Amino acid sequence: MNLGRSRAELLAALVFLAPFLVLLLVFVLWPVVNAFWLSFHAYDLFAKPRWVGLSNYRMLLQQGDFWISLRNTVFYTLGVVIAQTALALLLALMMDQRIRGKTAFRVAYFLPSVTSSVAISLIFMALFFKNGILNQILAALGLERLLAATGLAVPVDWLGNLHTALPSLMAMNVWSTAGFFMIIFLAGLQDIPQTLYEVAELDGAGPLAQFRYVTLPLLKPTFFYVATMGIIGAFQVFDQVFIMTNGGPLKATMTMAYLLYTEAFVHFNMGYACAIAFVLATVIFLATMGQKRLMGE
Amino acid sequence: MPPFVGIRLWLLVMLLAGLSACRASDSTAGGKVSIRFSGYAGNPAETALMEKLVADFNRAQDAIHARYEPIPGTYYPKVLTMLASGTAPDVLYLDILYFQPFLAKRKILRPLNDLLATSSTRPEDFIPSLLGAFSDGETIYGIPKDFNTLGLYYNRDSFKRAGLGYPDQTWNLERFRQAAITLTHAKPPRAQYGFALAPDTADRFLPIAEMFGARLFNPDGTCAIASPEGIRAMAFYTGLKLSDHAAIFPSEVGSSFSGDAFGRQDVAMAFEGSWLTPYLQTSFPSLPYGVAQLPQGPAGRSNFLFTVAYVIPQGSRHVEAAWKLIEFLTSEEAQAQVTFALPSRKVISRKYVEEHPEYRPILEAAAYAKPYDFGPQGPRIIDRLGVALQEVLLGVKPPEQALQDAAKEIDLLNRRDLERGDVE
Repeated sequence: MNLGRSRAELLAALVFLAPFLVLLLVFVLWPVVNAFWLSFHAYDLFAKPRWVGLSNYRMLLQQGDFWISLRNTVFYTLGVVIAQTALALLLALMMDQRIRGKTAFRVAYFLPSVTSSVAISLIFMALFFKNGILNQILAALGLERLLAATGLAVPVDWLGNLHTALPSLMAMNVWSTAGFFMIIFLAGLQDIPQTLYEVAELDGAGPLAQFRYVTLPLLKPTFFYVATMGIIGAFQVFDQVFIMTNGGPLKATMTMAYLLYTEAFVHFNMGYACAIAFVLATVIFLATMGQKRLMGE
Repeated sequence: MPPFVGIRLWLLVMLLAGLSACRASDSTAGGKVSIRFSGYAGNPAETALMEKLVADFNRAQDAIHARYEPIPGTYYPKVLTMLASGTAPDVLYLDILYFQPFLAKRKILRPLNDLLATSSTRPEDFIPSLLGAFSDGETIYGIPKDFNTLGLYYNRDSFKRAGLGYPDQTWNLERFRQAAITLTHAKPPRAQYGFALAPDTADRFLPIAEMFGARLFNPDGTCAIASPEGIRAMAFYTGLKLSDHAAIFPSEVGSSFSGDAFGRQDVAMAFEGSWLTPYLQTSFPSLPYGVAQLPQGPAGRSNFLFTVAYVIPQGSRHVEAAWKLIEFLTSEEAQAQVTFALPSRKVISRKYVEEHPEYRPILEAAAYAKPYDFGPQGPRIIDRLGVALQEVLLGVKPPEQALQDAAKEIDLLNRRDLERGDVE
């Protein structure tokens, strides 16, 4: 009797889960397994896949492009995740105050994260051009001389300069994702019981001490979530590179995802591209594990 | 972060909708054979003309219904993916640079000789170098659609203001350089430079290299671009910006290509094909411009034939219908309506230039221009030369080292090609 009922429940659960399971199987698990299999083959979409053993992975370690893209991606991720987390926390703390027009500010900061990255990229291209808006503002503020002092040729061709192209992309991404993480931090902040602050205040804790000993420790799970999602997103950066720089100038903005795309869909080295994908997945996995260890989760 | 499940569901729905749409149109609808035809959608004038021609074709007969599906953005990745998955259109554009890479994948292109044999379209009506460019020995794989060479577009107002005579066939590279320097006045708000120099594409550098007497390949097939002539050419070309300060990158003024910077009068001269002419007419109708042949170098003239053909992929199930469409698109009537390139038929291109004298320099260059074809690794070789150009322009390497490194890697690309017997 009991057994029959649990079996019926199991069946019901499976029926309800089926749409998702089928999708997962067809569009996620099967491609992943297939890609792993392909990463040991030479495959150009036309001839039959040919077994090459570990040669794709070996080639990867020997190819300069891979190391350049790895270096760029790690640099990008570190910069973007740290800056966007700090900025998001700052914004969330500000939005948590009693200020006028709070909702309007929240919407303004959140808007970039629901805007298409293609549209954002196109707008930022107009900003970053040599005679674009950014340089005009810098010139109007008299900051050009400061830039020139650092050895940059002014006006700076932000996306065309070897040293500024990647940081420019990073700045854009921090701007466009900070708002999203601000909302997450806000939720975390509002989860902290007001009574704890009252108790802290009774114990004589000032605003700084309250932040240090109440807010920060209780935000830890939120921090972990924000950092993890940030790392995953940053490691996979592609569309901005594709639209704004094509990995240039001279591979200065070549990220792993972009290298993967060119190998797969420009040069049709499918097996090699799959190998890159698995290395990228491993790197993301290791980075997340490392960060988990670091935060003592 | 976003609701992935929602996106996947949406994709699935779109996919199913797409599949059912394909099925409906792929079969013979209403007794008509349905075929699809794709080209790249780079040029609005071209897209508009193709739409009109396909509509004309559908009206002119009632056995075939052709659909024009232009592909925006990255054309070859899309086309190759469609070919590999068996969903390619029945008629395709094929750029000369991609002919040999496609040919190396033996099963992609369908030979057209049997269709030509029984057709009213005769090979001898086409400009021989164009038809030859899409042939492998006696086998013809593509019917040339039209062609371009590079011309020197110049701004008449700027030349008048600077007191310079317009460029003509006596111009050499040194005169061009001096003119670029004279035409440059970099003071805002109306700064104008002499020349627009695209930093990452080698197609403007290669003719200059040949004008200096350099060759891309030795007779034995190894790369010869790092010769003293090639290095001089590289120094000249990049020097226009680096030492003469008479050129800018289009991207520096927010343009996507030289022609656009020319249209906005940010530069007074640009090397472009006649695809620029309709662009200027629609986007910058009041711009007073002229077109001349490219200047000559110490070793004479050089130019390239940028040509595109119609091809039929092996997988097409409606070869006869596809051929009918190609016949129509390359007919004299259709070719007479082209505005962004020169017609590939001998008679039409001559007549065309009589009616539109501004295209004459483009046609004249065709007499000595070579097909823009560099073997099965052509696109990668051109990319690699673009990298060398960029290395010099960004000050990473001097011309000599940039070209030597490029030559080494180009040899490697070609050697790997020979060893494997196929392209990747």
